[in-house]
Amino acid sequence: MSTDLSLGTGPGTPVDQAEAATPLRPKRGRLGGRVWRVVSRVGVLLSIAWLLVVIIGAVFAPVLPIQDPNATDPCSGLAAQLYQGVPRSSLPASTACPDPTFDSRPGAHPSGLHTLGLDESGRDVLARLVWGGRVSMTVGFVAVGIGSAVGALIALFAAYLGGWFERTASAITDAMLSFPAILVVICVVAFRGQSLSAVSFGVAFACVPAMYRIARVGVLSMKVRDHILMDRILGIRPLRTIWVGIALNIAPAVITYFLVLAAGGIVIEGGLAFLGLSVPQPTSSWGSMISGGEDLLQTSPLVSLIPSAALVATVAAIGCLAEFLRKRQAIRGSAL
Amino acid sequence: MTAQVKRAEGGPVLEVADLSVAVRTIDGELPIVTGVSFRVEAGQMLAIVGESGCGKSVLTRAIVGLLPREQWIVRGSARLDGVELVGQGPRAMRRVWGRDIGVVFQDSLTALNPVRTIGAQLTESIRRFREVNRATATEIARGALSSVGITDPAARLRAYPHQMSGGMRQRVCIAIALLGEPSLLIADEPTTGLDVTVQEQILDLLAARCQDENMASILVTHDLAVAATRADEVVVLYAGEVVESVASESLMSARMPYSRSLLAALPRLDDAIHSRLAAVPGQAPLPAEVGPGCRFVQRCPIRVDDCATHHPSFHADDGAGHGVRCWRTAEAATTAVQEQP
Repeated sequence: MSTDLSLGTGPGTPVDQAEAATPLRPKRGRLGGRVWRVVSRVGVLLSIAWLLVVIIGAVFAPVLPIQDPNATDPCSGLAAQLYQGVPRSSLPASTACPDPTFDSRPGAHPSGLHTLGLDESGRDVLARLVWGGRVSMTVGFVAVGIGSAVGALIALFAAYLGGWFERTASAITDAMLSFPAILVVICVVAFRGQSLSAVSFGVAFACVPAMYRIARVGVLSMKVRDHILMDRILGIRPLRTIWVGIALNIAPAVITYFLVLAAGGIVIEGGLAFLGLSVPQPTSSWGSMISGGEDLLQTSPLVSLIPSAALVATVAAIGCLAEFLRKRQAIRGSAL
Repeated sequence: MTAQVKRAEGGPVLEVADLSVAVRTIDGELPIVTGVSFRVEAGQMLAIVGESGCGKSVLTRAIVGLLPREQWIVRGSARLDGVELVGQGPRAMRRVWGRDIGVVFQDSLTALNPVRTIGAQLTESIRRFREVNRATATEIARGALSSVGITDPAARLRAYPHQMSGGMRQRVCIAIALLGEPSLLIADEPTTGLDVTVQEQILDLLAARCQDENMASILVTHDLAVAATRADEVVVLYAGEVVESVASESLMSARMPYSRSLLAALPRLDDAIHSRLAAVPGQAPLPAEVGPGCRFVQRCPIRVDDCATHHPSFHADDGAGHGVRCWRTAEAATTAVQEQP
């Protein structure tokens, strides 16, 4: 775009290129600054990579070559207890332990058969991690996405139209914001029972007022700009002004804040699951995996640490991405 | 087209009579602009001059009908080609906006949508005024950019507002304002924030385009020198009312003490080097603090006791359309400027 704008001789001449290249090269900063830039760039790439892994795992969990997340390993002592008294010949083939010498006690360490080991009930940790990611991603991106979209849309129209609509919407969201988000979600789960849809609904509901506040500020600052008046003078339809003149302009801020909320939503789901208030057993969720491994912390800390690390990494990756987008916006904002 | 037919009938393009604007507050109505009257003929440029907060922008926005009706009350009359604008709803104004009145805003950066290219913004407006396809609209847009002195318009159409300089953006804004071939162009401080050479270019462009199209125009400015050199007629606004209305060639013989102190505040080539610029002491009264007398009384160098209690009326006293709002015009003509150091 910038080369398109150069006037006079085209950008092909060597003199032109030399002149154009010098001012464009940024000045080299201190060593620390450069190191930090590289680190933060690597951080962004790692974040994107990790989120892609989790999202792909969540989407394709049913077809991935992983074990059944809810099946207890037949070689673990638990399976033997489970089928105590049942004649061995009548047991299904899948419950037969192929190698009784194999270490498959609950909380067993990673092995060839179970890449990340077994949990407290002799279930495959990797499989449960992938399926738990499905719950986290559903709550973090789908539920928060829907809630944020609703909040942003209400803000768009409320702040643009003003008057009683805005006053009502602002009063309601203020009231909603006075309750901690996790309390809102617990209430919804208490009313609708433990299920993924209840948790998702609760989280989405809690996102609406938060996004409303942020989007409203953006709309209010855009609304007073002269290009909105210009649109009116030029007879452009109000809906189009709202979309092109306002919504597209506040989109970067809204998307960044959506990521912040997504991280919050994942943490809330993890917290609820830890308390046993999210998806019911045996459906796996990172939070319930952490609490499940509590008793084994001394002997097999990995059972709790692996889902904890996944949760921390996901939230940190989203935060890193949000920060990256925010910085880019700041640069764009200064150009305006 | 219709505007041109009407213009041929003669008479002013815009006639503002006793226009008052008030804002609704918790304590009731607060007058911001009171009793403004002026007229603009086709091909004529009227300058509205005044310091910050004197009501310049409110006045023009009231004429254009851009003040939200929940907050603002507009009284009086503003007739564009004989059609009353005051009291019209947004539906009626939509027929006027763009086609009969073009507006150039002060800050070209906020007057253009930052996320859309110049081309997208121009063609959308073009297709609103004329039923043409996209390609023709782009062609017209290119022509519109050339007509405001933008070189390489095809490349500029693909540019975003932040990729252009302030002067360039203001040219784009002028091009957009002129798309509907309006009979009246209102430019609200179009050169604020531009450097002096660019300011000259933009004003030259405005003047040339208004001349070409035989358009009436209103130039809102706080720069008396700009008003004197560019406009045919100058209206000086102080604290929401017209204090002097004078043809620009006789601006130097302004009689209202405020206008005279503004003239005295202009830097001059024959001033001593490093001498201080003359400033008008004090501040204009806030709309809520306006007293019963002359609104300039606290800052007036030639005030007498009566000035604080009796509000002077606006009178055209010399037959040449030179109107003044002052009790002491005779004294002002001789004293005000000389009192400045």
